[in-house]
Amino acid sequence: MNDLPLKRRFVSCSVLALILAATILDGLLSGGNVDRLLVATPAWHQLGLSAWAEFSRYADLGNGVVVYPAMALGGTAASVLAAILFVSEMRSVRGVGLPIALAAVLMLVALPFSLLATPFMLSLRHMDAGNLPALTSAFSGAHYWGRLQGVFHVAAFFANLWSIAAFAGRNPRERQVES
Amino acid sequence: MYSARTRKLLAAATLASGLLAGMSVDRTVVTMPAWSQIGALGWAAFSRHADLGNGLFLYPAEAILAALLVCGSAASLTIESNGWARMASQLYCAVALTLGALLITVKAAPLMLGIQYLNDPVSLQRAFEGFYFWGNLRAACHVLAFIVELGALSKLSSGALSSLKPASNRFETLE
Repeated sequence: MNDLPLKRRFVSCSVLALILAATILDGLLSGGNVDRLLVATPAWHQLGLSAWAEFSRYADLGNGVVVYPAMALGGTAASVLAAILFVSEMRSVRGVGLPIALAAVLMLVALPFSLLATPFMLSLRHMDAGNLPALTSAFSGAHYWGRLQGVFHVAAFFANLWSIAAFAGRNPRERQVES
Repeated sequence: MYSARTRKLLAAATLASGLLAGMSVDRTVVTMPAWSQIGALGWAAFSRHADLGNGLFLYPAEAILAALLVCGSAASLTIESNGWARMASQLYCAVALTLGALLITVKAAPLMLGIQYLNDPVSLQRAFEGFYFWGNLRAACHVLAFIVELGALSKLSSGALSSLKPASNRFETLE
């Protein structure tokens, strides 16, 4: 009986730590996605596909090969573990459990989109700069699936922050303001 | 004691800071190393359409919004804080980092704006190196501000988690 509060404290600390880790990773992913969606992609439309392909070989197929999957997989793992721990302890996804579960679902849904975008990006490795139809297909595919993945990453980041803010809303030290 | 207003302001500030930090990290870790291999001419051609295209509106708007929100949450906590001095100092740190990033932008922005009128490779290379340097410093400020704000937000949550009670009915979620 005595170790029940201790166990609860351990679980709650673990859930919070996992949500924080997920928020950092999903936040960093989201920022990159927003930048690509609103700034970089319109610029590539103006600059042309061969410039995009050359850049992507050094960026997405350079450091991006390690950084993007590490952040996406890390963010998904942290979100899913937080949701599993919370639901197994609280046996409910109501209230504050809702954004935790939502973040995990959104990150899981984003994964297949990342997998669908990957072959288009990898195809740039051996693509001739003059092969316009292949470049067009790679650009369209990478940006179509990348955009979808980005929307889910941003939504997951929003859900992560919602979870932390929802917990804070349950804090007894929060002053109740008259409605 | 703190109010829901402080919590919501801090959550919004963390959202804006997180997006800024993500943009900066992407630039520092992936984009700029790629441009350093391609060369300053390619970077300048891209930047004229990106940073001086949609970025001209998005980047300042996001940086100013993040600064306003973090200043607002720090002010809100200061007005109502009672025994939350440590958290207030944490938020002042976030304010300093966010304003520091804005000050760094004052150094970096002229380099970016200047490439509109530059064509010779030596000047473009110098602009690239300067922008890379200041961009890395700014990225450090953005990431630290994001982490500090997230830490402050989680401090509001600590204690609330362990006070939650498990659902009495195992099948509550299905009801």
